[in-house]
Amino acid sequence: MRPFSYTTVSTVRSAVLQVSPDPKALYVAGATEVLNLVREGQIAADRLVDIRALPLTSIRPGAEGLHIGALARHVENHPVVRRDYPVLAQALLAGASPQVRNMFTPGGNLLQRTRCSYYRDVRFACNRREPGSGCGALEGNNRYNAIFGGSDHCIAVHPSDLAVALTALDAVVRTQGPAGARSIPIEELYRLPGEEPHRETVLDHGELITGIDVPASRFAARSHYLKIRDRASFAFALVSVAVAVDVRRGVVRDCRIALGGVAPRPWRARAAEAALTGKPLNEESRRAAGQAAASGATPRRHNRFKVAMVERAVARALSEVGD
Amino acid sequence: MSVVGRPIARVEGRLKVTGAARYTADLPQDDGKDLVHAVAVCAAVAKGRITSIDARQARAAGGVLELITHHNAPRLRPVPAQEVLGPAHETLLVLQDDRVHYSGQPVAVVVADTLENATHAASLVRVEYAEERPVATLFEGIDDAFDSPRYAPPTTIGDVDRGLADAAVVIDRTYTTPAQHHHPMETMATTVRWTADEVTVHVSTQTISMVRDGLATTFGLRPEQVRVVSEFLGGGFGGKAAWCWPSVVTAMAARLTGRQVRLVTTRRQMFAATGQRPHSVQRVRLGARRDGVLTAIAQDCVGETSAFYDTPPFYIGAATPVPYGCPNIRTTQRFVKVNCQTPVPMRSPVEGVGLVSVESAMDELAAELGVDPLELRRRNYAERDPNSGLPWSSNGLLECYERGARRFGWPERNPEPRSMRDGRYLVGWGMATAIRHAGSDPTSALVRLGADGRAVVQIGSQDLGTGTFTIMTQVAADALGVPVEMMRAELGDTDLPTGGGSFGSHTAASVAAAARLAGEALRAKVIRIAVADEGSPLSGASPDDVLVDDGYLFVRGDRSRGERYAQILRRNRLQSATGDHTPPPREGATVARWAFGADFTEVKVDPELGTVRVTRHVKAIEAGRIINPRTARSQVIGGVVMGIGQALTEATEVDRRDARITNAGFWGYHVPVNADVPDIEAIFVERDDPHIPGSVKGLGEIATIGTAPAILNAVFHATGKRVRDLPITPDKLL
Repeated sequence: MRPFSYTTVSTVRSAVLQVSPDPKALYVAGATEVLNLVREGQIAADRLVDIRALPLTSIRPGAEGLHIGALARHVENHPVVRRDYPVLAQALLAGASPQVRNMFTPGGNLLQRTRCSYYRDVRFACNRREPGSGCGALEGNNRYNAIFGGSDHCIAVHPSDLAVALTALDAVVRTQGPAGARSIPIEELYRLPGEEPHRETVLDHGELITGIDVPASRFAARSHYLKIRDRASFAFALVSVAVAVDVRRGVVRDCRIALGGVAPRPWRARAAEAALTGKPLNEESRRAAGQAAASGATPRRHNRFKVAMVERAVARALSEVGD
Repeated sequence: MSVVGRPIARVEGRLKVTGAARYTADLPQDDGKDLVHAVAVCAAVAKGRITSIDARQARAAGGVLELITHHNAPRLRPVPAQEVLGPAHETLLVLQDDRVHYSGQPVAVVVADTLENATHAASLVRVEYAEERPVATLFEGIDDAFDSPRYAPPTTIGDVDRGLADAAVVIDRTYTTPAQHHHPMETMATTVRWTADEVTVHVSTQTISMVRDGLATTFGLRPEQVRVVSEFLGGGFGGKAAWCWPSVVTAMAARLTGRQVRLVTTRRQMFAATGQRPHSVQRVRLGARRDGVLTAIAQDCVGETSAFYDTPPFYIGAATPVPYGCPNIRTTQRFVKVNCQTPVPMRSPVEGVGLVSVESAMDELAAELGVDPLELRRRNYAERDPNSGLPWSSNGLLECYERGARRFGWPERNPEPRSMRDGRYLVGWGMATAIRHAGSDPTSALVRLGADGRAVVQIGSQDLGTGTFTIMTQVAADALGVPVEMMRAELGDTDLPTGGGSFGSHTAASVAAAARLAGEALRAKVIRIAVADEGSPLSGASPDDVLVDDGYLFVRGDRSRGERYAQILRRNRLQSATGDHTPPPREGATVARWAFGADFTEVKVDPELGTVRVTRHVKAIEAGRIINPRTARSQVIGGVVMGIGQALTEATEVDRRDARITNAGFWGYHVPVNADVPDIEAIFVERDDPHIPGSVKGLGEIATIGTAPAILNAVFHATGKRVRDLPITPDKLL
């Protein structure tokens, strides 16, 4: 393991001051991800700045919505979250084992790196890890890779379940950087790989996620998270779906459908939302939404199954929120 | 009542749950200041030559003591694999030349004062290769498949072609099973101290005696110069059954540095450290009459072997002739050289792989004929071993079928696929037959009795975690006639009387037989001393008239005339006796010794999403007599869990362009987790077997054989779709 220094900070300001000017410095909180990456050499850090002492642990439900601190613990157990934002609690529970959930933080979860085989093993070519080295996944074992949003340079998928649920809730990420505070809609947080897959988010170096705001909405309470994977628990998604619907007088007034396991970022299925909006929620409309969600997919050799899986998973997730 | 057969708790259980048990990576704890750490640098290509190794940066890094490459490594002598280690084990002489044969092969080893420094320095070693195109998988090399008459001779019984021609129905199917890795909780760990007098090796191994002999041979030492210790093991499943490179390079490092060196492989390195279950293609043809009676069984397998090793590994079809009485049977196997490690046994290497296809094909035959799968198997019950023609030493298979089926509720099964439902889920019930050869190894035991009445039983075998400490305690206590609390077991040290390997389902039979012989010998010895001892109430009695109960020796018919072991020992010296178990020779056998079982399983399949969950599993096993139903049940649960992984989740994935593994970690190689494991019920059908000491047939392998095909068959019953390519991941059912 590459040697690194380790410091703790107690204010957001000092955290940002320490990391921003040092390109080899990184924040660390739960260390469920960063330590693995440093140990295996996917990322090179000379300095880890531990932010666990920062006052960013609150979970505040209110009339305008829900605020989740970047370091909040066990959001999935909060009674208001479970009642009013079920998709969020379900995504967190599906996201990790209890042991990992005891350690991880919401802010870190949003910034976890892809589980693409070719990124994780430093002996493979990977443009995301090492710009210009190539992409082993394009013609390799790409069963887990993207069917949406990829490029000729990268077809990695984003592994976070939480981010998919937040995308279906129109969440906004709060950050603090050297230039001040920002609010970034979660969909805009992540870049698509394009020609620069190593630039994964719009965050500047040292810009710290301080919290997440989930606005109050008419669809959050009627929401569901479905995750399909290779075993019953503790595996990354083959396909996951977050749905949230606002049904009034038997008709879908508004809805959000976001997909996980299929794209380099949480994938908002707008065509599916459009197909469902204005329709009664029934088998026909669910199937149509599933088909719309899968339209435009560009699967590779080993992940063609994901197209049908998306269709069925969307329909199934919608069936879980009632008629 | 005898303590043998009772479900006593593991004697080492408290040590393990309190963390007091010291595993190999914990050792040594006494003089840690001398201990240094080795980390291997593993090849980034799967085939080629090393053209340069730039170690300047690594050597300059903090704490580095030694850097070993093929330029400065001690020269090794080849280990005659067949003689010392059996044919299935790795003979690659690591760090001897510039050739790379598989991705992950060690090409350098860094030794440093701390693990962190060694790991860091290892990352600084720059190795350049002249890469050659590897054979990445079986499929890439299948045109060059070759026979091995010596290690995998075809089996021919009767006339298969005629049996197929005479059949009313022929099933002809091809199945594929993936490469899989063992992944015990404890990765491969070795600590070596090398002095002029002795080489002391702490190693996580299933066979201390093989490590001693292999190490002695390859480094040109006498076996008595090498002491190997392996007290507690965190599993092995075959991966620690023999010689592997982590132990070799640790010994090299200890010799070169003169320090005590430890090497613990990482989880990623475990994908190229202790071998793997070979990828295979299995074509099966079954011929049968309308009533289901088999007229022919033909199995043609192709399995991978490594590119550098000329001796092919085991023959996965070797047991195919055994389960069913059929007059015409033929099995063949060919091999493909692949740029991977040499395949090694993985619980269970022959039956656990080769019978997956046969048991699935039997299910396909049952469906084709409209005969119940269990009934089909009953109709083909073998009255004698079809392979050898010999009578069974004992055979409880029909009772396994009956009791397993009854407990599971098999008669309620609707034979029609897709006919059973639970809400949105399709329910499937499947079953399979399990068989496993029952054997043992030459094993010696020593039992010693002290003046406090406490005894110890010692065997140079080892406990994989399955309960060997416990069962040898029970057997030795019973043989000596003392309470089980007064007997202590010692294992895992080549200084102890020589034992065999903890593999092949041999351990329980071997240690139980030796412990009984030693315990009985010591009892007889002490009785002889007592009857000749004028100070003893037993003085003058005939030795044949002295009985022992709970540590108390007395004369038959007069319980008042007697005394305890402790009293006799206080007047006499510490006493011990040995027992030597010699297995019956396989040549010239007059009976066929096998364990039997039947698996019954229920799966629930989500027909839209393709996910499969095993929801119930009943396994009936006839393994002779069970020494401890509690540890035995635990072993069966573990075996069924492995079968679930084999059927549904586990596959080592290789990039076909460069022969590198793409899921080398628990994030990508999916072993079953708790949520995948249902209630598992073990039924033991007990049998006395006059041809096997103690009637102990062994459980390790039979516990997992049969589980995977039962699940495959249940998935077919649930969905009507036959998946012949393991594992059954959701995409295959969409």
